[in-house]
Amino acid sequence: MTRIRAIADPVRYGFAVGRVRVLEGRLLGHTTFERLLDARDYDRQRRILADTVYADHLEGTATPDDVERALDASLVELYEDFLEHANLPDPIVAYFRTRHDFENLKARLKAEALGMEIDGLLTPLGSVSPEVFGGAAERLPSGVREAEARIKLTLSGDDDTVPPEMIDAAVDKEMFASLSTIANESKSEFVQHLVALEADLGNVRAFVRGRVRELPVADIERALVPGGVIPASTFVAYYRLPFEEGVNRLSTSRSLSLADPEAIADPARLDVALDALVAREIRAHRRTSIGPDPVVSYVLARRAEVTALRTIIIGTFSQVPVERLRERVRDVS
Amino acid sequence: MNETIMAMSGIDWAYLGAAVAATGGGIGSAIGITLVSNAATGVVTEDPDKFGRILPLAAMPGTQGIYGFITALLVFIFFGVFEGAVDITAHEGLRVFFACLPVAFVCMVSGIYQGATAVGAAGMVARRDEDAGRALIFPALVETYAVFSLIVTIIMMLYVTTG
Repeated sequence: MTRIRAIADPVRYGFAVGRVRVLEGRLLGHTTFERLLDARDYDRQRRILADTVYADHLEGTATPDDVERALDASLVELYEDFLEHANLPDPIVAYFRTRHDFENLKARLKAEALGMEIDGLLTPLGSVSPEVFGGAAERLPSGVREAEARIKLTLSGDDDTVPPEMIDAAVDKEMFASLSTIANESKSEFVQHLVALEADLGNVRAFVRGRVRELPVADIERALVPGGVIPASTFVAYYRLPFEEGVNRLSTSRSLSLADPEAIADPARLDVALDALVAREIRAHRRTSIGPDPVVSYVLARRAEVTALRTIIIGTFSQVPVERLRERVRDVS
Repeated sequence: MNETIMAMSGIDWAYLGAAVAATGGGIGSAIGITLVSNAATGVVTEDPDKFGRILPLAAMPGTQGIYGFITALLVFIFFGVFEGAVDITAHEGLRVFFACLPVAFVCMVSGIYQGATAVGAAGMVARRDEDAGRALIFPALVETYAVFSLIVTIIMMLYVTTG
């Protein structure tokens, strides 16, 4: 099997890895992020980004909305120019695209439940054109259509007005079930591990936020997503323990073994602590010589880079203190 | 099957040896070059200036095919195939066949693995131009064993022709 992989991986991923080796040299480094944070002025930040892949997208932008659109466009370019033209196996492309399909499904269900206009809520990053989500259910691809039917069935027992967080939880469950299938189809241990880690971290977020808001166990059970290494029953059992003890026990699990339990217990530091775990995984797999790992790591690193840029630039527009921005910017370099 | 093998003449065995050597080396090179060329194409797509630095890496697994070709040529030259009159015993032919095996197997395997090693080396060149020289060394280490196999094959064939 190992011998077959020694030939199959370079054939399948060689072209993409070759591109990634050049492109990862163009990722923004820690110094660039520090300069952007210190700039405190959008014009200066744009000048700092003048020699980067974002320059063309940011040209002519002046408002936070312009910047949001420009950064979205840079991600669309990443998906369309890189992901779709790197001869990658379908499950690897689906791993990135499918989550955006479910994001659009969330928008569709929320717009329907709250009587809102769907335009402006949809992302073009999915595998299905965003316009499809604004139309009839029959136009949706079968997988998404079936997921929508299941979600509607789950939510139909509740009151007439379904709260948005229940839609989020129901869609997330379907999304992680779908991502787990995709991860298994990809035959990539790294993708399988990432999906399991993302599911675990999503459940940890639900666990901590649930405890802070003192939600009943039934609400947490409903919010837990499948596909993680930590069983849902463990989350439920720990949820019944005192908060500190529950978090400490969770921290001994394989997914959280490298995280600081104090940061996990603090809702203000939770996101940064959990994102750091994912960033550590990505960094560890970027150096793999060949296979899906460097490709997946690069795309995730670019996504994290866009998130960090968004935080810094929009934060600067909103005059958020630099130290607060610095705390929120993930170490993606 | 047994009867066919028993009926093979000396030159039949020599031809089989030449064919196995050329085929093994050729397969190794073809797969090895495919592996590294995939990565090299990706690098050059993003940075065309790296073409010159990547090319030696992509060409390196090609040597195994050349060794297989040389072995086949040596069989033809040593045993006078080009002159037409070939007269070797079945025993000698079998020894020629065995002499061809080191190149056939070692070149097939080393060509593939040299290609796989060169993929990593191409990554080094993609990141830093200055590493181009160092990047050549690691795939070149794999080459050593292909060269050894060719030397062993030549010595064995010389022994057959002189002994």
